[in-house]
Amino acid sequence: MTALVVSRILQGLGVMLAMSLIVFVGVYAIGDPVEILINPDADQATRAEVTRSLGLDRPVWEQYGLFLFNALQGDLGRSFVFNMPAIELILERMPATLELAIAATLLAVLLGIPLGLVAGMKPASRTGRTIMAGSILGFSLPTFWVGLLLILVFSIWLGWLPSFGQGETVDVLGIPVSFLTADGLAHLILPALNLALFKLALLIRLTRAGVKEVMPQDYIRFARAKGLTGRRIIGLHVLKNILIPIVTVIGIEFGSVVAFAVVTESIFNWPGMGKLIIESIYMLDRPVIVAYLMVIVVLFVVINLVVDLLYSALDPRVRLKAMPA
Amino acid sequence: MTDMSVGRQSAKTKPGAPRPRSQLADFAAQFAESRAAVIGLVVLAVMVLAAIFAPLIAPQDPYDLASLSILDARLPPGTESMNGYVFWLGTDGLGRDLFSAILYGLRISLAVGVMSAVFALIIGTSLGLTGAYFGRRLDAVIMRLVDLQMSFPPILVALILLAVLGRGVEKTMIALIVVQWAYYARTVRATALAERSKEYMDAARCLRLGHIQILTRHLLPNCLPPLMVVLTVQMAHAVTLEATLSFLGVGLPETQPSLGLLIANGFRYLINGTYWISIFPGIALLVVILSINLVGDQLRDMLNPRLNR
Amino acid sequence: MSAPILEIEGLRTQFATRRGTAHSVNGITLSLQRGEILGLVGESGSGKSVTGLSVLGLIEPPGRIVGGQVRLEGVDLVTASEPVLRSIRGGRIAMIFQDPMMTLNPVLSIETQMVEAVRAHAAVSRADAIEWAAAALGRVGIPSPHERLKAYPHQFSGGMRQRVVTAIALLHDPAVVIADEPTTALDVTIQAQILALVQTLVRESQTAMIWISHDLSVVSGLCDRVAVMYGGRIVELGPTEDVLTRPSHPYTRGLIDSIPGDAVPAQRLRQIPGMPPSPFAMPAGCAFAPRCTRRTAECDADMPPLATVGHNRAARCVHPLWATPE
Repeated sequence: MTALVVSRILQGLGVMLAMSLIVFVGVYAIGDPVEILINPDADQATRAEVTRSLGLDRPVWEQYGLFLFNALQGDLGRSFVFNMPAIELILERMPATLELAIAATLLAVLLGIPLGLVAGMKPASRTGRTIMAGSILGFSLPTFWVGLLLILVFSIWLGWLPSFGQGETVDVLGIPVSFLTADGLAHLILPALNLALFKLALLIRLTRAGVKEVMPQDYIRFARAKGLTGRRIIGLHVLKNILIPIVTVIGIEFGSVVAFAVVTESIFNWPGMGKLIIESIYMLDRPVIVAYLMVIVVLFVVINLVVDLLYSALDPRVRLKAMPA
Repeated sequence: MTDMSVGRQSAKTKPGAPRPRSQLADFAAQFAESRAAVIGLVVLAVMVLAAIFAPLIAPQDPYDLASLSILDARLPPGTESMNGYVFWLGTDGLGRDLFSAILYGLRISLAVGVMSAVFALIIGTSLGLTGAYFGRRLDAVIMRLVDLQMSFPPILVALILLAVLGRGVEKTMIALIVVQWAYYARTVRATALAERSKEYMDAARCLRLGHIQILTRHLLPNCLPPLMVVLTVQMAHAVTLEATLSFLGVGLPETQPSLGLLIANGFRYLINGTYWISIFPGIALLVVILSINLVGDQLRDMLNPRLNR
Repeated sequence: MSAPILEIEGLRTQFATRRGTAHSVNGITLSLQRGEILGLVGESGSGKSVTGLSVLGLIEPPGRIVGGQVRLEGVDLVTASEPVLRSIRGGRIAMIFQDPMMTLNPVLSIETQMVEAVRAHAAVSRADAIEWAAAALGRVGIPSPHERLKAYPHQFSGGMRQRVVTAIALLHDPAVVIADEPTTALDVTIQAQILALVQTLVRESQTAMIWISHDLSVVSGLCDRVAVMYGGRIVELGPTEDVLTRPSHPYTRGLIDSIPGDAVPAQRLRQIPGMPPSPFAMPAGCAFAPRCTRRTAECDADMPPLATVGHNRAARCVHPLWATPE
């Protein structure tokens, strides 16, 4: 187990190194880093100062070393819109994005797996067909447009739910969260639903495919022959077998939920890092873009690591193979 | 030789087929087994034709600013204009006929989506085939690139690219190609590796056919069925992604209003109940994507049972 | 003879498929005495496995029991409610399947799979259930059962897995065990071990058993009686020894002749010409007639009844090879 963790962490570090190189090449070698990293309105003296501090007069490999060195210390430049370190700005917005992404993932799991189970158990029934038709629709609906529809229907026409911002927040361990207040929860529902939709469709399909694969197996028949209840067979024997691919996909897709939060946050004015990155693109606040990229890379590496560990925790065959004999 | 390699997978006739038919007819008959897919194909064809002939069908040229009247702005669907013309889908914030705007938007959306998917297909297929055929170092490098590319969600990569490149038609297409090529490369490589080990490849090599000839005449045709599946799926993705990027204001410029941009423009009027400016272009977008997906689903079931889930 | 523990009467099971209705089981009538081992023999597709599954109500859509009764100690299972069936499955009637590699859930520990089986029919604590399970593993010859309980199926060999499956089947001292070719998927040496084990355990506890097999040589050493199935019907029924030495139905004769062990060395094995009937198009008359050397017009006219051909013996044949005038 430890060997697995160490090897995965090393792999993650490798990916991060590769990405830092790509970012470096993209920002420093192709573009003019002075243009990218400082405010276009800055005067000549500031430019000279920045050029020196970035070591742009030194050889390229030395520049990369300096970039890495700075990055490792959390220095990815200053936002000239907010006039604060870019990395701090990103980290400040991250909890809101994570809250939204987790809420969306939970929603997708809590709705998608049961619906997929039903569709898989009774594929020919009307319910089963309706669920599958719904999932194809869910795949085809553009996320941003669904966001507008949700606002139109639930906020404007029905007036049930707010569609703007995070609502009232409370601090948990110094992090503001919405889901603990009634107002915040109301604000969370629409964006979370919007973000969940695509993953919901995916989970329905995945669960159904898994059920269809597992149900005809002999071990399910044997479980029935043992006199187990249908609930136990589906809830344990079927579910645990299909959970392995599902957990992997949920994990891998969590990263894409975070990425897609960009769209949802822009529509619902959710103050997360996705909305920040879009604003930064409009404002040409490039240090924030660089910082966002690096943070996302770290996030993805962490997510992949967690998925790998979960995977081996769920499947005894993988778990035991990873252990030295 | 050609007979041996072409259409290896599609030539498999189902048991119980009444009599041997031409490959194409067989393919069509199998496709028609899904009614949803046929409907999807018909709708898609209508949409594509409407997009191509938009200038002929559209009652109004939405870019001819002289013909627009601000007095017509934000009229609800079905309103009659002052010169007797009926705006069936209403008008947008500039007084444009929404139906015309949607037709032109569809044209741009489809053009960008389809062209970028095709370019990505060409680039991805070339890289994947070359990698699989020559193997070793080149293959390893290409596959590392594929892995790296695919470990990040397309929307993110495209967003970052456009953040650095700026808005524009070509730039959006570059971003779409960059996020798509890896899917083709991976698909082609997997198929080509499986084909490479088959006997007819040895035969081709023994005949001392040139690399290019073996690649294009023998390997490529066998990769076509899975590629067709990926192409349809990716076209839907490309259209959606372009619409999303344009909606966010980082994709196509205002001068080339695709469906995504039309929806974005309507967003600001949504709050006071002016729903049609956003909703109708969205429905057009949905219908395009849905019909591509219906066709793609059936193609996948037919051509690539391994991916069937 | 005392009252039979299990009576199957006129059981018919069909599968509605896209190609039409598959008539898998077409009226099986059988009875099983306490402690008796009955061999259910036939080619694949003869309906023997479907019969086994039908007894426990384990037929899944598109399959359906369309007629007949299965009475366990007088209670009909075909019309029984799901909770009643559930209390009987694994309790009064247990089942062992063909492939031990596929019968145990790969992602659950042996302990989980045994404890749930114990607690499905007995209100005991988890700790007691574990002891119960360990004792059952010990009885089937698995060393250090407490440790092995923690293991997962893939950590066992095929033979060991079939021992585990047998232990699970016998957890609640069932009145009837239905064993569906439990040794077919195993190596010959392991087959013999499992066979001996099952035989000992069943005899000890006076459990009745239906042993489903296509292998007459296994049946001959194990079963008290044998029922030969063809085309979803029983074509011959009687004490194992009698049936195997003096078969009455030409099909049984054919089966016996195709056993390699009985053949003279260097002589070609005899096999039955032709193919078994399609379950989608069962002939009106004797299903075996198209492959039979004794076929006459009479054979194709009507389905011959399962008629008595001797003491405790019956055969479904117009021209039986052997019959004692009674």
